[in-house]
Amino acid sequence: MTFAHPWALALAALCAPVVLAYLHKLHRERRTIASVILSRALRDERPASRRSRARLRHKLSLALVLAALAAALIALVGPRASSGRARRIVVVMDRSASMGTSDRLARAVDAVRDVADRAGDGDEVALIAAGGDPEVVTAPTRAHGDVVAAAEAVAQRGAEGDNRFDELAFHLADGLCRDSELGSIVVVSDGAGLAVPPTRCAVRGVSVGKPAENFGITGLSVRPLDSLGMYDVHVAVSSSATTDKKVEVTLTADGELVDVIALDVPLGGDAERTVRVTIDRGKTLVASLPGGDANPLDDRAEVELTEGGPVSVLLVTTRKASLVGEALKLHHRVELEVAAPDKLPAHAFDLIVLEDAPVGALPPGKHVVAFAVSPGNDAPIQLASDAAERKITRWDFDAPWFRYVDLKDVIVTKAKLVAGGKPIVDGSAGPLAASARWGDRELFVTGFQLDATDLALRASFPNLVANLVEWAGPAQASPARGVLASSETHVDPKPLPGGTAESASPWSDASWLARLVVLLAIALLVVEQALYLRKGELR
Amino acid sequence: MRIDRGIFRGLESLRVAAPKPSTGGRPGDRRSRARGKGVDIADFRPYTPGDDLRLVDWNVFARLDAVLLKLFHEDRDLSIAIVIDASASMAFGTPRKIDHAGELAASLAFLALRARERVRVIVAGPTPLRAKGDQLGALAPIMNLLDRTEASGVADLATALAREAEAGRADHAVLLTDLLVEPDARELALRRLAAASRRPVLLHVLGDTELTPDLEDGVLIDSETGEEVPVRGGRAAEATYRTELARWREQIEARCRELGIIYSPAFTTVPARMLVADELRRRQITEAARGGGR
Repeated sequence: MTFAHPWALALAALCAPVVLAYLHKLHRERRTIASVILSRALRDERPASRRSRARLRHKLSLALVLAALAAALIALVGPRASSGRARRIVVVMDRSASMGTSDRLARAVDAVRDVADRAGDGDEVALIAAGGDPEVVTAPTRAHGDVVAAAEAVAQRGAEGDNRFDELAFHLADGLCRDSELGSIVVVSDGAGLAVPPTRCAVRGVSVGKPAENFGITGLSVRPLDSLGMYDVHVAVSSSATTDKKVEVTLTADGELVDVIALDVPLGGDAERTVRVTIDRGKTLVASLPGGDANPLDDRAEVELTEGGPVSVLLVTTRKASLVGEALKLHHRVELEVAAPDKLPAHAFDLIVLEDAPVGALPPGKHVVAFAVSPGNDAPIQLASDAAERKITRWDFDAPWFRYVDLKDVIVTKAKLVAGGKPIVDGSAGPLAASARWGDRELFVTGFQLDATDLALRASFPNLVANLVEWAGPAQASPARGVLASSETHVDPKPLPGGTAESASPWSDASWLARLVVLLAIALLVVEQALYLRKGELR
Repeated sequence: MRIDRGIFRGLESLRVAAPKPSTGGRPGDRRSRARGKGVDIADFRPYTPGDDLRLVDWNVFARLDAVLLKLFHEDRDLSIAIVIDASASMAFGTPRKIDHAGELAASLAFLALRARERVRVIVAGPTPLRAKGDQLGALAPIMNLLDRTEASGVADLATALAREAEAGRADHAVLLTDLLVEPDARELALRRLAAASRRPVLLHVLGDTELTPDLEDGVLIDSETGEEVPVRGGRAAEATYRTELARWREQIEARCRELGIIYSPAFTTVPARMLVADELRRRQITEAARGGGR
């Protein structure tokens, strides 16, 4: 038998005044007074048997008070039956961003210390930090002080990340726990965003934190719209406030103000908006909230606006001076290789542009553009007859090749109709361009060569070439940093498995037995009080 | 009993009151019914040969041509008997009733001796004790007697008062007791007190143990008789007790009125010096040293 708080045994001394008070009361039961002349009117006419029952009640009262005292004492000292086998307690300490609210990390350390204090000398305690990338901070050890020191170090590093990898943390804990009979997992968390997966060992929660008002950026994504620096910026804000609030998200790029987005965030809910902005590539876009709320960790998020990587392009042509080839050469992302139709390279390309029909199979490449040539016999789009009428009557504005490309009034001097695929450009006589899937390739075929049009004289031409490059190798914004799961922003404590509201008191870690004993003590005192009141009633 | 010697401070301006003429046999400064040497003219009578010519009222002789002799009230001394109940019941209370009674007795004795009155102090306990004197110097043996006295056993107040009466009826007889005795014994004691002097006084000494007793369930044992009374405490019991106490005091007061005894409560809740200076003065048991008594 070991005790979690042996110091509490000293409270047994409280029995002495209780017994003394009882003896004093007993002594008072027979007392000498000056004279009974005035007290005869108070003579108790009850039979002796009833008086003896009253005395018995006094004894019962003493017994109940002592029993209540003993029960409370037992609950305080926290006795643990020694099974002879050491227990293993794996503490999963949540350090996710929501734990950065007020003093939650400090309270979490207190909870870890409490668990360590309650562990028996032979018990092993391990510490796993959850939130962000889970890590085993302390392997199972009997040096419980090391576990507390490690928890303090975790708290000192501060809160970070969210709970999206918590499952891994609990799998680690389950692995360390080893034995479901002698092992247990104690999760110390505010419960915000925490999801406890099924585990072999029993999981008990120690909840920390109190409700708090907080706003946080829970979404920041940037989508480049073109190669000219236009972006769609999507911002989402979550609130754990108890009333509707207006918040302003400030967008800056390398310190320069880009936009201010006003959002009406409903109580305990989310608000989001997408704005279109123009920013130079290579800058860092920062979204920030004014701050002053419970948790500063979710008030800022940023994303780098990368330019996108190089795009390898194969131009299959026999021409010495190709208009398309020259335009591609000028594009800063393009790594151009020009090949004759019968000397096709074998390596893969991001984009294959055909100005002449290839001889043999095309090299690997997911994007193929054919200008007035057949990409292959097995291609889903083939050239048909010459187009007698070549006036462009319709084109697909949403097609990736025609963003900011105006084909209206473009003069096409020579063209063939295309057969198959989805028509993208229509002339008076029929489809002049179409697109289709070709195995794992995306195919875009036009019935005209670009130099058979006056496009080169229009501003749409460089846009068309840039669109081809973006189509083959879209520039992607790097993932945003500082964006947390919405659950981290809703910092109000959530229930934990077997958890309690607050861990600061020694009762938070009370086992069901201790709780039962405390309840018993309270019940005994209630019974005693009832006896006392009943006695008073009978007077 | 324990008596605070500081009790005499401030009592110099008081003396034992004597609203009735003294019956004392020795010269003093209290007016008596006897005619003789004195200051206040009581009457006139015709001169007879042999009378002291200094007593002839020459003013009357000049106006009426009659020789009359002035008769004066003779000033005699006062006698006071102080009887203290020293039974076991007087040992209770905070402060103890016996100590309170002792302080009251010592105060009255001091006032009387200071005026050269004759004082007798009787302690009525299992063994009656006495001390007396008529000079301030007699205060020491009286205080010595009181210091040696302890409350114990049963006091026969009636017998003590009867013996006192046999020794000579005093002008004042003051009985200090809680009167916690059976009704017949109480009646006898009050009768004897009434017979013991021309101006009997009962100083009813009650303490907190009688006025605000701690009533709880249990068995109460009489300190003098050993009688056991099982009682049930509680609020109802407290109300019953208060009624019983009021009724008992009312009985005693009414009987005192019938017997011509001056009744004065002398509860331990009021300091003895304050009782002597205020309550006893209000009931004409003490009075201011100048102006009263003649």
